[in-house]
Amino acid sequence: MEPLEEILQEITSFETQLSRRSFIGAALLIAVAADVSLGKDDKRFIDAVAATLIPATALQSTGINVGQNIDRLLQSGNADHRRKVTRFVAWSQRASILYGGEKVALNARGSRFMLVRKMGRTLSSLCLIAFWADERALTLIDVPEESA
Amino acid sequence: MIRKLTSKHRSHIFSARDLDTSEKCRQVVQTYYDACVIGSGPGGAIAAATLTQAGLKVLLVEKGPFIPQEQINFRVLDMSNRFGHVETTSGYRTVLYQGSALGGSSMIFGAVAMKPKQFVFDEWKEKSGIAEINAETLEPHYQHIAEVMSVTRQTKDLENRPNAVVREMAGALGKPDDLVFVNRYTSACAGIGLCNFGCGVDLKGNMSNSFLPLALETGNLTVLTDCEARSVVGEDDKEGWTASALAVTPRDASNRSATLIKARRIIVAAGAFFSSAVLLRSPKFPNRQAIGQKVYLQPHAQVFALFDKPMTSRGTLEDGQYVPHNGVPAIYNFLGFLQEHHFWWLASILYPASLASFVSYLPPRDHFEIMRQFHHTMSLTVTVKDDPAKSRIVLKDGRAQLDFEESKHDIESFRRCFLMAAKGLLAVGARRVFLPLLRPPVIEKPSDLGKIEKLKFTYNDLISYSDHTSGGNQFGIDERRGVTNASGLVFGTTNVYVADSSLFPTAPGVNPSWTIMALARHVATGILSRG
Repeated sequence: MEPLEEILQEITSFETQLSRRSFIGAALLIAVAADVSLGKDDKRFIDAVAATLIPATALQSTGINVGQNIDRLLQSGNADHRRKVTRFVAWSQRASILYGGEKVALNARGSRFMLVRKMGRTLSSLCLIAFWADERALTLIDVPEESA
Repeated sequence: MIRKLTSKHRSHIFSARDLDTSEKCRQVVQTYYDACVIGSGPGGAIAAATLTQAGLKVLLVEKGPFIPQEQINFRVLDMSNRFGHVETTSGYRTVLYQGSALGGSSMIFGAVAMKPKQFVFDEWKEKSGIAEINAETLEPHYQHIAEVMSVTRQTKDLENRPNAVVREMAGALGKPDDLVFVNRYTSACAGIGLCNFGCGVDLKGNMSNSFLPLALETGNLTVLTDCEARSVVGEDDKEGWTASALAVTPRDASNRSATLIKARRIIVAAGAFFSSAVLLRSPKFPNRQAIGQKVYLQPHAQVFALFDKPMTSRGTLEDGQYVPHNGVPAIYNFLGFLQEHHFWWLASILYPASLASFVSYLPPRDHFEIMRQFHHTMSLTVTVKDDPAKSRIVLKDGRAQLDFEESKHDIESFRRCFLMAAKGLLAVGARRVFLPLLRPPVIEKPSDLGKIEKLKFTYNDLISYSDHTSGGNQFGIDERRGVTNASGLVFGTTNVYVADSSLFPTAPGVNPSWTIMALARHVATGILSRG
């Protein structure tokens, strides 16, 4: 399965559960108007989250902009996919108020709420895919001494 | 043999998005057809090819777009998600990954061609009460497909390091004879492994370079892409419910009023998820209570392992672009536990973005360390031949949803699968095994295997997906045991057929595409013989 499909799987699951469960953060995780690409605030948020997941030296040496790459990934999907991802990023940004701001992806993993744990994982995956799908990231991978 | 879609072929391919602006496109939907086929994947394309080669005028509608080969490359940022459509089971985490482009799921499959084991055909006979669909009667269809799509048995000389690991695991688990060479829809695979991007070098057999060009060559096929089939329109007459038209809308425009395409017969081949949805949306359609029941996911999950030795086998394309990957193409299926415990595995696609995602739960420093060692990792795709506790397609606000609950038996299959895979991987030198769970245990040595025995999980904790979805419109001897008869004709109708994986009475236990094609050809030749 392609990685973006995995993200969409999680997002859909997240949406489904959001509508079925209630907990303290749910009031903040309200649906926002669907958009087709990430806004400036969303990109800034994503870049801040990515910086908690990926070493600063790796981001600097490759010059990869995670927010821009998510936008590029979205262009290859259909309208439904774009809506899901943009909505998810907006939700995550709101939830981040409760879970340590840009550290939301890391902090949410330890939550006792399954829904929040999923959000943390999904947000992590989204940022990490957008980074490692970029060919410039390949320079960070050790070249094997011997080709098998 | 790869057949290109020529400009002549392409002149018969239209997009429903142009319905308002193109006179030619309007003519397409105003024509009366001998058959209208829904879906251009392994079911629909074969049905369309069989009918058009016999002289019938056919319209094939496809929900996804036509993506020309020249637009396909291996860049993850460009190609990820272009061919697919994602649905999930209700309330659970399992994704249903459907092909959604001209060529359907053949654009995203790994091109593995397998026939079900005999015990599956025995299950089908028992469940359906139909004896005439079996390995022998389908064999001529399998052979025809093999010729058109260059089905080629893989050989030992194609073995790369991940495949060698799969072979060594079979030996370590005491089941060396249960490793089978797979067939693939290619006679000249480049071994790049990103089959689910459509194959950027056009060496993978799919519907767009096999049966669709053959059908278009006849001049009898018209294709309408970006077109969503909403419902079948028809009414009761003396002989039963008779379809007169297919109601369609351009994709992502379901609010718009539907266009009716008139045809003598409707052949539904949109895959197990969407075929049931189309029938359920059809007003006054007969035998509704049976449609969409018992859908099988045959779910997959990926188990990763880190080795001291490098696993990557190839990494360079002809144009010099460096594309690191490993784990494919699969040349073996390990079937040692299929009949008894309902799971199997093969070496599978792995590239940096997919590894990054699957181990995203790790702390950042550990994650980066694993990524740095990408060339030392490999992936097994494990698959469970499932039998869910509850699994049916329902409509909510007109949209299909899979109401699903896994069975304890399926959870146990996954647990045993993880246990045996981890045991095998450690036995052949894995330094660490990563299980596809939200919070997996650390598996680094044989004494860690006990942690898997104690695992408690549901599909909610499992990172799983399905692109082998089947069932829902099973064939059966009568209305109590199936939705269609042995010819794929829906009970209670005179001219609505099913020709895809939704016909399967139980999960096939292996990669389903070859059998979908064989059954679709069986249905189409039956239509021709009845005139």
